[in-house]
Amino acid sequence: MNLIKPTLLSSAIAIALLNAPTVAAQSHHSSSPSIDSAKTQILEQRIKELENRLERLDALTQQQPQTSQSPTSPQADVKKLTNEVHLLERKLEVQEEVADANAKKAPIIEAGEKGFKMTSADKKNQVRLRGAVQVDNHTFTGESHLSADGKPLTIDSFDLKQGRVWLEGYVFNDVAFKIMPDFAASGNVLPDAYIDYTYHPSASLLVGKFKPALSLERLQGDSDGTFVERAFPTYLASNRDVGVQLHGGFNFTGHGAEKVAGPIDTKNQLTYQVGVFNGAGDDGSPNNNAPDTNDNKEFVGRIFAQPFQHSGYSWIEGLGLGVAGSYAQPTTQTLKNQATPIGRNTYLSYASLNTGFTAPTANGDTYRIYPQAYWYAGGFGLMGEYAVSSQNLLSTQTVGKIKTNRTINQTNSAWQVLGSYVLTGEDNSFGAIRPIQAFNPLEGKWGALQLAGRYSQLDVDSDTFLFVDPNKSANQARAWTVGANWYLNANALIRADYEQVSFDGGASKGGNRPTEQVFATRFQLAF
Amino acid sequence: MKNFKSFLFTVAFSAAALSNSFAADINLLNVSYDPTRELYKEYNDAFSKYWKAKTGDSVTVNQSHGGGGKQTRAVLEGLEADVVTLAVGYDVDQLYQQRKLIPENWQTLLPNNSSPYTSTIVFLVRKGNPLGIKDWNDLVKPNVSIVTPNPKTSGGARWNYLAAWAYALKHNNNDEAAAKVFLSQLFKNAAVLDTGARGSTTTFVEREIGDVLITWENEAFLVQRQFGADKYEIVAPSLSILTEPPVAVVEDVARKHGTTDVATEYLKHLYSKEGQEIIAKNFYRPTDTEIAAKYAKQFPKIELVTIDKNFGGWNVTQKKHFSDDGIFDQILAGNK
Repeated sequence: MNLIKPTLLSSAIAIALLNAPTVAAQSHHSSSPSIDSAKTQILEQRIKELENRLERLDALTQQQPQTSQSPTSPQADVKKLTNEVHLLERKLEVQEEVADANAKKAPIIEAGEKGFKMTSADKKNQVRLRGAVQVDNHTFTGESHLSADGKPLTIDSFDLKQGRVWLEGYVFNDVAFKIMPDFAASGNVLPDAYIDYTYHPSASLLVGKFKPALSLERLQGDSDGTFVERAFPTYLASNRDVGVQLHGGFNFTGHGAEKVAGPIDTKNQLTYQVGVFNGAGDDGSPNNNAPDTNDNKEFVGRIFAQPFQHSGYSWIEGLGLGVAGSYAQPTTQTLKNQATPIGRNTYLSYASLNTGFTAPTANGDTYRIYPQAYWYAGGFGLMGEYAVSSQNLLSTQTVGKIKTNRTINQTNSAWQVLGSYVLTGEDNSFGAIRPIQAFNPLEGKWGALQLAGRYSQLDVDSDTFLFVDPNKSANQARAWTVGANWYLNANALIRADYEQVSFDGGASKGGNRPTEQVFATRFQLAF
Repeated sequence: MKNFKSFLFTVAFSAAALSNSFAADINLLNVSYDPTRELYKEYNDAFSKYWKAKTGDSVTVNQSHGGGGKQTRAVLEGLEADVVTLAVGYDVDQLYQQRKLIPENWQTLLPNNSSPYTSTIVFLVRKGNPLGIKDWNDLVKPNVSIVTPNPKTSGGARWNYLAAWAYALKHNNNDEAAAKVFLSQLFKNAAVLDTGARGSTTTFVEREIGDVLITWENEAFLVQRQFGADKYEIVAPSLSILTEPPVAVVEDVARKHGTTDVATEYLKHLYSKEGQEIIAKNFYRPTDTEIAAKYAKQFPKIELVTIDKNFGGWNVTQKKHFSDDGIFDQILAGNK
């Protein structure tokens, strides 16, 4: 009787378990790996229970004399249990086989500091959800700036600089994409929307709306810069434009070139970009769906080398040098005012004109040249670029009843030098700084701290003032900027910058526009 | 004269060396279903010798085996098979339907609808046939433990299912509802649904699970040969199905590999006397009438239905029985 009870119990367990054909049949196309794993664990646990019972039964049968071979004899029970264990073990094997097959097909879902990522089992398709929020504060000190009608320009404010959520990834291994709306933008609410066919490291085709390959600092990631805002040279290049760009990279040190999607490639030793765009002008950026106004297109090219990459000399591996240029022949293209880097106050206005002149437009030959370089070694970082932007400006002058088209050649130039140092031991980088320790004061971890300074200057061609009122626009702006970046972790940082911009001209009676002094902070989250 | 002989020898030696230096080493991948391991192991050796003698090139044929459905998906997902030798035509046709890896008329490119051998479905029972199993109706009796693979992953399992379905229709005046009940009872008795036919053989033979294995005729003979006729008996049911495993060159892959010619010849040679002999020795039914007659005694006589005449072809059958929510899914859901 004592033997029959455990036998019946184990049989009941086995019978309860053995809907297995259904389990096995369904799981191959509907169960998730986690469910398969749970089922497997249950089966394993029950097999162990049955095996334990089997061992106890074996021990008991050996102790008792064999009297009969009836169906209810201990020997028969043991045989039955043995069969059930074999059956369970086999079902477990099949279950594991099905689970393995399902796991190979299941997409890989990851969440981390670079957003939320879903990759197909064959890794040929991937979608990443990313985002960035930048909240700024500007506090102006020193002398107030007033507009022509006496309203203050230097208003202290909190600003939502960026509110972006975007998707990026690739399909069929080679077709990369990015769709990035910015809900904090007033006009250009879709800064990036592109497809990049990265068939080969040396030749990829990028189409859509993105940053033209011109200014080095402009090409730096919008969350990766060293200061709250970029320096003067950046604003002589287009912000975004719509077009098509062939790009690629090469490596000559035995390291294979990598396929890199998007407008900039910092992974390969020698990179190039050649593109054709509608043409957006200095600091221009087309609004969504805005059609081009003429047939003339802008040609942009850039070549950039990191000659010592993979050389083994770490102090010079992060040196990069390059040059970019553009050429276009726009027809009456609207000009964008120039503003101070952090304060964002206009110091060159194409709306404040000398008497009798209409707002000038870019008309005819236009070119830009951008020599550029960076050097990152350990905690040290240096970046610099020079920009020349030359364009023909057209305005109509009215004297009495006579209207005359007047043209000038305007050649503006700008340059900047930026130095930074990471105090807390992390490597400085053209990309984001990754703190060794995330901020956690209770554990004595403080994140990463970077200090930086830059000088930047823009010179306005003196011919500009044939049209533009010299009492309202400066002919030179010089900006000193110092700042500190506190990287709380790989995703969150706090910036604090102070900038002082002084001007030549721009005030009445040939005087200088008052120096702009601004203290700015930013809290940024980017993933 | 001596110099002339030396000259001839040198020329001959150089020519031989030159010809060797131009001989190619070719690799083929044959993606096949579960029980064909032994057949293709023997056939591949024979073909390599044949091809070497014919062309001087060395050809190595690699084999991949698994449940037919699984193997098909593997090829569709990128496994670079030069040829496929699968269990059912529907699976091969998916290579055209889903990825155009083969031409639409693939089944007309080789004789007998591209099936160089046939087989059928039989039962394998333990010695003495303790439960007295003779026909399909014995499999649905209570307490009979059946081993058969899962039709969702195994081509052979689909043949098993269809043979049982044909039997049920015949004995129920073609009443499909009754056939569904019959299949439902049959799958209630299924102890384990392996993913492939070879897995089911392992379950039945090595793990000693189940009273009867529903399997390919060739697989049943192979078990007897490997494990002893004194341990297992083959039971031929009154009715079964003519299984026609098709073969095809995966032209898209073969073209990429530069193996189209050798892959085509690899399949054509299956129809040769040598190929058919190997097929028969491995217990597949040869399509060559001469070889078939030679080995006729080896195969039991069974009434056989066919997929085309009795089921309307694979496309119809697959959709009706094995697609999601098809009759097989309904049976399993009802058995829960």
